[in-house]
Amino acid sequence: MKRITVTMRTSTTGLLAAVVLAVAGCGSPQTASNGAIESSLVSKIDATLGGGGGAVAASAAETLGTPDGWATIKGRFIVRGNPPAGTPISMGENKDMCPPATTETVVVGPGGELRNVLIYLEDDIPDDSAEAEPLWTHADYDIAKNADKPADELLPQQRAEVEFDQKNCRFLDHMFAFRSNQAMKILNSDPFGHNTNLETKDKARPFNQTIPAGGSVVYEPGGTEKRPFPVSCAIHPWMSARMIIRENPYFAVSKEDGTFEIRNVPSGVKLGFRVWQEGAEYLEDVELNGEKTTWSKGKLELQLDDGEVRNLDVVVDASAFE
Amino acid sequence: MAEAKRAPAPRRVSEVRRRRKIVGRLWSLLFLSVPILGVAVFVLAAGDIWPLQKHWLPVNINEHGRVIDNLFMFILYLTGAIFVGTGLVLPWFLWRYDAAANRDPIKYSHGSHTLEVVWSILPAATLLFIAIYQMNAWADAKMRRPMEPGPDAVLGTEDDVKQPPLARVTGRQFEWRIQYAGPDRKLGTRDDLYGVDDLFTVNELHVPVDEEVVIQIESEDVLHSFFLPNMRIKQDVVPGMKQFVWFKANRQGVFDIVCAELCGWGHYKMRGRLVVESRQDFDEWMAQEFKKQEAVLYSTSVGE
Amino acid sequence: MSFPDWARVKRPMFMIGLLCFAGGCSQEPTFRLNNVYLYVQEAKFGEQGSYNAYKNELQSILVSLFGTPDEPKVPPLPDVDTAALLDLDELQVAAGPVRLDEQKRARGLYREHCAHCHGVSGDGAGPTASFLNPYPRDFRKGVFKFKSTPKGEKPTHADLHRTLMEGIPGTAMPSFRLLDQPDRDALINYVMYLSIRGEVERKLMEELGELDAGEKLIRTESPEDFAEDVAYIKEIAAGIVSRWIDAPSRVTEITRGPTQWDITTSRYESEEARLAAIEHGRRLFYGEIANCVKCHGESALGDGQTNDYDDWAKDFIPPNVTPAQVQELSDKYTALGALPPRNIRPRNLRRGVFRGGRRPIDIYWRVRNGIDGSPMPAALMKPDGAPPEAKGLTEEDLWALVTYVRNLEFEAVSRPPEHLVENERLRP
Repeated sequence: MKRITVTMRTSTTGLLAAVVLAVAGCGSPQTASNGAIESSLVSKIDATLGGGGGAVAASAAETLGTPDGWATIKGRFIVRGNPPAGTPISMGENKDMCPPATTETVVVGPGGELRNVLIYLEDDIPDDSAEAEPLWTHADYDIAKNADKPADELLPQQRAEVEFDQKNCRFLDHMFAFRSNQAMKILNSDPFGHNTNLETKDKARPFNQTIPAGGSVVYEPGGTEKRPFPVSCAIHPWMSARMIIRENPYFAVSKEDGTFEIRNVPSGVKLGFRVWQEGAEYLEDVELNGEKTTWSKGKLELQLDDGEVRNLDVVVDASAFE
Repeated sequence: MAEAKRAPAPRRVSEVRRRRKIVGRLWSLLFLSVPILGVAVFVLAAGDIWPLQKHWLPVNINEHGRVIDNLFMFILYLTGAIFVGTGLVLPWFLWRYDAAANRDPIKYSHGSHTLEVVWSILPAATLLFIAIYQMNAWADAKMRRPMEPGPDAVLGTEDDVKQPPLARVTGRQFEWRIQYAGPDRKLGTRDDLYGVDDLFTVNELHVPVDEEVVIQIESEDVLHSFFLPNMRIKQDVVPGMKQFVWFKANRQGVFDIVCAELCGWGHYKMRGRLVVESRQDFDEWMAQEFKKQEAVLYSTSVGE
Repeated sequence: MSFPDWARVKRPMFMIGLLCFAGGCSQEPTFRLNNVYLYVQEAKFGEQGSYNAYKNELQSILVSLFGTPDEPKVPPLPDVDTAALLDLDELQVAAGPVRLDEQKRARGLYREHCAHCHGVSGDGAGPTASFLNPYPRDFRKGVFKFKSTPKGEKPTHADLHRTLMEGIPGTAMPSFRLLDQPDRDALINYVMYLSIRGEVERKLMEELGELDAGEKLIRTESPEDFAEDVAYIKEIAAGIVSRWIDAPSRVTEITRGPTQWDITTSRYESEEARLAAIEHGRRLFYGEIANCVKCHGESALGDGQTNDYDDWAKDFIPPNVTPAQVQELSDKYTALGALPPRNIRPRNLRRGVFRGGRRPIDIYWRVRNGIDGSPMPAALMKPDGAPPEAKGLTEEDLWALVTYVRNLEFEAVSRPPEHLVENERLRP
């Protein structure tokens, strides 16, 4: 009899333990992966919701100050060490006989010159290029004024229409930037059809259309994109490029020799740029003009003097691309 | 030794007998409640009495369904009588011959040849009778598809043809996809009027009243069962088989289509609507749906 | 067993029973965080494990804007009339546990009819989702396939309603025709709500990439910073809501049918006209301007380009990865709640099963606008007044393609040999 009682006690304790476990298990099965609701934050945000409209964003002039002239930014991106080489692309059932290709995530020249780095002004500035004396967007960038000049005399940012081409199942520009008030003519220089899929995420119009051999189509973005977005082709899924659409003209993509140049940047104000490259995403740990610097999330703040030519010699360690 | 291991002294024998007798009586009454409750369930359901309202057969709207109902009632009465009989005999035996209440000495029997023969032949004959009695109903429901006159335009002659289906109902997890053959009465073909004439709908089967209607049923994936409770039609839908059901509705209205074969997690969702309407309404509905199906214009101001 | 022992067991047993029956083990459901997308962002921009720190904040922001599965909220947003798009009463009919209200109207419709596939959070990963092919739609990306608006635009109420009425043939999405109209409206409202909520969640996660270490989405130290950050988030939400509100004005209206189409009989005027349209459509199908053949294959069986992914899988599968890398990514993200990615197949056009509907206008919209979220591109249309040699399709070309595609199922090669045997005797 006594022994029975003992076993019963054990099992009672066991049952109680099981109940406790069950309750504990029920209580918060997911908070770790799902995040907990912080009621203080919720009520604080709730308090702001009653009013309906949000606070009006302060105008650029208030937050950024007033520019006093124009400056130029130029520079060059070099990779130190051996970045990962492009890998050969598997094209699967390649009915169009596209030539073999490698991925272009990181493209460097013989001396480590890094191609396809995007540097762009992140801050929103007013587009006043059409005004008599613009302070923010230099009159050179007024597309309407440049309309009658031959295209090859103009910077891409000055043209009314930019061209984005594809040949041999490859987008000729792997990193492409243009302005939201420009039109982009998408060309197909291949003897077979493509479809170009702009996977926009922000305010620009998404686009996915067939483009027949030798054909073209004009795309008008109708809005900007905060960040680079992918471009693809469904017929040849290995084709890949990145694109960004900005309102202001202050952006550049490094060329084959790793250099870039942005002209007529407003001076006398603090401007926030971002530096982005597909293989590394934001470039963070770099050597700028020989000095080790960290650009947090690729953010680079510059305040230029009137007439200054600011040189940015940037060295990136190959480990950034791993 | 044996003394030492003995359990505590047993209760008195008469006390044990008394308890056993109560338990025996309870079992007898429990078994007696089976025929009583069984009959009560049928009486309540058939009489539409609380709590079993709307539990009897749904209204029959199929001309051919009457045969099924008659067969059902006949078999119900027959099996009901046997059920009540056996249901009464069992508790009576439990009561009468309970060992705890019965001091008579046990009698052993080595069987009765006569009894064995009787209770083998009686059920066999009954089953045989039911088998023969229902044969015609089965053939009408499953084999004798309605015929229509052949080239000689006279019904009942050698060249009669089977009536083609009005529509094909395809069971699919978890819905009924319906394809009407259209004016050419051929499924899946273009008619000769420069276009498609088949009409496609889902979960909503319209049929004309007072006409023989043949429905072809198929499955796209797994076993389903096409059940029209008001038509007394229930046919398993077997993947890879083409089957036909037919009926002649004699009442207009909206009725149920259900799946009567557990076909997956969404089985319960597999319900449809059977709309029986006059020939004129049916034709109008077909024409209107066909127009919607072949729409080539769309404007937000007009809607669909 | 003697009585005191039984008493000892009884209490814990009773407690277990109470817990289970009183719902002790079913807590109020919460919206699941989009962990897949969060960790996709982390893999791009952050140290491993660093994004866990954002989870509480993300959940809290979303709860304050949109409430919980049991108590949805319609947030007031700048410059958009959110309440006109999302009716709170209807949301409440669709939200919450399955129950009847005082008027005996069914409530909790979403959980009754949708959640087991589409998930309580609208993530397309309900309990039955992994058994289905294709997978149920994840509403949180804000992308819908079968609609009357061009690429990138939201579907209209009528578009979603059509999907509910007709179901999606060839998929596990059934028809909800037998529900009452107000119930369907409530469900459509709720799907829009889930989609808007999920898209805001994604946008917030995209913002994380630009935060410095230790920085939060909403800075709480000073009231000015707090107000500015909340306003920014509301602007993001307002941008999404405004696209939904704009959808009806973006519909691709169809003002003319095929030439030689008889509107009274809903057919071509003559067999010659129909055959001519089919022949014209066939040439376009194989031609290089419409270029359908590249993906749908020379047989039109959908066997052309078949190794691409849809946009939902592309969230975590970048282009040009090896099968081994796909496996690795798949393992990583399925552990976080994603469903194993599958290649997207171009439609087999010979089966006569059209997911977005079989009406001519449905197929017209698919060809003209492409299918959002899938590789299907929009047709290149010839601009008005373009010279005849300009490349592109005219409306007449589109209608020819539609006629051709709709006719494919009736071609002799599309029809399997008659092998189904009637289950009836040959003898009468």
